[in-house]
Amino acid sequence: MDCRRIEKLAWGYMEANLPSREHELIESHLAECASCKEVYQETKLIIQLIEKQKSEGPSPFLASRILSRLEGKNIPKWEISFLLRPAWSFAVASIIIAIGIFTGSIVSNNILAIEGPSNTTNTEMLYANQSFIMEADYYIPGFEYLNE
Amino acid sequence: MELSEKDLTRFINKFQDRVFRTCMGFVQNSDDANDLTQDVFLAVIESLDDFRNEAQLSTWVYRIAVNKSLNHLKKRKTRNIFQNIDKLLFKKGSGEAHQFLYNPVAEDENSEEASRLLNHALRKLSQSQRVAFTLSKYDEMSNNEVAVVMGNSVSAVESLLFRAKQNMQKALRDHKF
Repeated sequence: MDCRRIEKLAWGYMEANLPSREHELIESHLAECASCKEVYQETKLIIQLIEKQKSEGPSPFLASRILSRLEGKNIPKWEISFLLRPAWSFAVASIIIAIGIFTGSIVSNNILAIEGPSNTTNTEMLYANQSFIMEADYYIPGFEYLNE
Repeated sequence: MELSEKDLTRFINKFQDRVFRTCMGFVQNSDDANDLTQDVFLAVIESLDDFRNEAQLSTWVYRIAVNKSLNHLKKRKTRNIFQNIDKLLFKKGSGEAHQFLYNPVAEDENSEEASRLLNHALRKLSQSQRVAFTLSKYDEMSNNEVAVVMGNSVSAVESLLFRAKQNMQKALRDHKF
């Protein structure tokens, strides 16, 4: 049996999963081949380590730690953090921008109505403002003199 | 889905040993495996509403454990790259504290050597070979169970395990430290 064949069967040999004929052949090869014997010993070492790692268990406080982390998560989850999610922050930003545009358009319409079109003369603007104030049934600070 | 604290504790107790072993198989360190096990259960509990009965609950839990472990390994790989750059630039690699922090904990020389060999051999496996190997050797799952968790056929799992063991043998034969 050559070294390549040993490489394929070594793991099965260590787990005692091979037919007795192959088992014997590997044993006789390992007795003669130093290189394969070294690999065999190293493989045995890592199988032992895996067994040792498997015997370790999780921390006895695992469940209580998970439950406390779950409690801590519930508070910010529904109060603030949902606003920080991309979809929510986009929606909130869009609403704020829409309100801003709407408010801005109302204010600018009022100013245009008060100031009149940009190509009018100052006298025309005064008359326009006066008629606007006369028609509008409310008081605008700073235009008191027009009523005199 | 509303679960009482008692239900959650029972659920955690039922799966914690196997989830821990899965994580241990990937991260090779009990502190990291404990942290990762917590993360797995948090992810499972928080997404219980998404669980569909198409798969068994245990299969779903193991899939989350595998995915979390693989993500952890990816992050660790990136962190190691930065640590190596740090070592190269600032020559911090020789201190005892650094050795203690970045080397796997070993009780004696023999287990230190075994730990080094195992890490070296595991690094030579492809991702799917490593998943199959961990579920088979650490969780002692049958090939059929591994196939269900991985969403593969049993023959594909047999092939993955065979190649995994062969690659590990090859890695041990070729290793140069």
